Amino acid sequence: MDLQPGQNISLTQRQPAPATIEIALAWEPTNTALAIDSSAFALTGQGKVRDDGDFVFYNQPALAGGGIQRAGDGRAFAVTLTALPAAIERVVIALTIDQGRRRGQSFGQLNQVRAEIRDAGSQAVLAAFPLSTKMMAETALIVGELYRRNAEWKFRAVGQGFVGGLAPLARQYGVDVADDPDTAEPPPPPAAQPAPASPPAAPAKPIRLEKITLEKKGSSISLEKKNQGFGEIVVNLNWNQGGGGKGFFGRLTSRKVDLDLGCLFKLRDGRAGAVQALGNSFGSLQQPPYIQLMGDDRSGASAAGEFLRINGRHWDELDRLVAFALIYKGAPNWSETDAVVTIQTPDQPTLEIRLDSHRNDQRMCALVLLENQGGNIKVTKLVEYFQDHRYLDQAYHFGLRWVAGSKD
Amino acid sequence: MAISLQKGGNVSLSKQVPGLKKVRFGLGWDLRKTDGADFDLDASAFVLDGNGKVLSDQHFVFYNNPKDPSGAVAHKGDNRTGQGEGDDEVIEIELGTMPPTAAKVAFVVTIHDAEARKQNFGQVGNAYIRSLNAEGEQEIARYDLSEDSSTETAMIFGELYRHNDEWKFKAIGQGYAGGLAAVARDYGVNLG
Repeated sequence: MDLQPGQNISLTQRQPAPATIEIALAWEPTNTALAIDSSAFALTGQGKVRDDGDFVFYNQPALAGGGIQRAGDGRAFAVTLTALPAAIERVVIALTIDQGRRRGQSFGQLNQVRAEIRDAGSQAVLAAFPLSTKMMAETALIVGELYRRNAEWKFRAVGQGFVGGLAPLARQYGVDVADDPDTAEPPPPPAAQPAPASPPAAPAKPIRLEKITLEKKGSSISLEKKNQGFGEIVVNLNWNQGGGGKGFFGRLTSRKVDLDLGCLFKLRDGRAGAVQALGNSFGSLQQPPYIQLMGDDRSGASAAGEFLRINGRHWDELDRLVAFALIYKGAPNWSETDAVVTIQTPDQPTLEIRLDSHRNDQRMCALVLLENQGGNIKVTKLVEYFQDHRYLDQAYHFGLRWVAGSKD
Repeated sequence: MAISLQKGGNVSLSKQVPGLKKVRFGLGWDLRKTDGADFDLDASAFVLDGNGKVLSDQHFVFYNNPKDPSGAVAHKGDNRTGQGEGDDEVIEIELGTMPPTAAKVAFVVTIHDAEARKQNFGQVGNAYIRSLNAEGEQEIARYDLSEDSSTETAMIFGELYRHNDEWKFKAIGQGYAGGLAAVARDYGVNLG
């Protein structure tokens, strides 16, 4: 059934009651210039978060303690009702336009935003909420909310928001926002800031909304080493089928193009190699190269693409690495993948790189270069295409010897 | 301790407060927290006979007609005085001077300009109606409607009615399509 704004529907008054609810988000037109982000707020009966861990967004893709998982490049949330803490009575799902106000953008530039509420187990569609967004001046939009009502869980379609974007939205729910990407000046590269004399003492740090998109090939940013070193660095490659004929949600549910993520690395001691599914070279976090390939993220949300994890405590032993994407089977069709690379490092802004140029005659794409520069991590956008590993290796001077391999 | 009513539930005000003379009905809802047109909600009272029709057009008590002819039912307007703290609108009823033909008073809340603003009660948070003893401000019964509403633009929140020699209060929570005019017509008000 299609919901109107304000309308609600019971999710658990059915047999069997869904354990996990999936909220899939989509918008028209899909090829919009708006940079649309999604977030979820887990709220108590007072309508506030318990702490910043209850704010699920691109810098924090799962609820602390479990129960909410952001997936599908932010186009879906999985809410496991039975795994939510008892104190959580509402889960608000919102969309925001990154720097929308600053760029003069709003949801009014879309025709429609649509949410589909599904039973994750059976994939049965429980409800859909198509919202016409024409004329909307808002840059943050509360799509809807799951909420407890007596012994059941319900979903209410909302369709209201804030002109001011994510910051007023987050504050409304009690999230302590440090930086407002809409009103703040563009963040200077972290390397330009003086190193703090001592580690920050405050335990309750305001949450970072900051996200940096490396727009142009060759543009780079340096993540500055803090006293304790880096935590786990996660490089995620995510992609969509894009523009298929499988309807509004085809992007989420089927993938014609399968991408493999991998990397070439060089250690400070001169050793070099590859971490990739080919040849089952999945690497290791505790031993050199301190890089591990995860076919999936740890929560099992397979919609979230592939992950390379780097043990930041051993960053000093790494010299550099180039993460790449490979189309192993089928004709290369990069333009349909709509692929995005995100690099998440604790206490650092999220970095985002889009594959915004395509070479459909090549099978491999060098995505991003991570270099050890005086202990800091210099991140450079590459998006350069190659025929195979050998050419990529030559271009970035890893000096490896190549033989044919297979994933089997 | 106040009684919390569920939809359809009722309570005898006369039994809860023996000798009750004046009842205050407080109606409230959350202000809009998001951006956009505010929710402009209006409360009205319809003084009805045994057939559910107004005793006269003047027994439709609302912002343009703040008292019925007997003066027993009084719309106190937007509550900005601090009285009945937290209530958005207040209607007071002198039980002793109610016309003998009045069997019931229905309390209706409508969203002003709901169609044009595309608003409905499902978007209004924490709506309630509560009855208090006007002498001493003691809350007698309360009904939280928020979950019983959806896409309606008018809602009957509750009813005060005679039952034998008692006055009772019933939680209704019934939606109504078509706004205040449709409600008024159904209660037999002749709208110009």
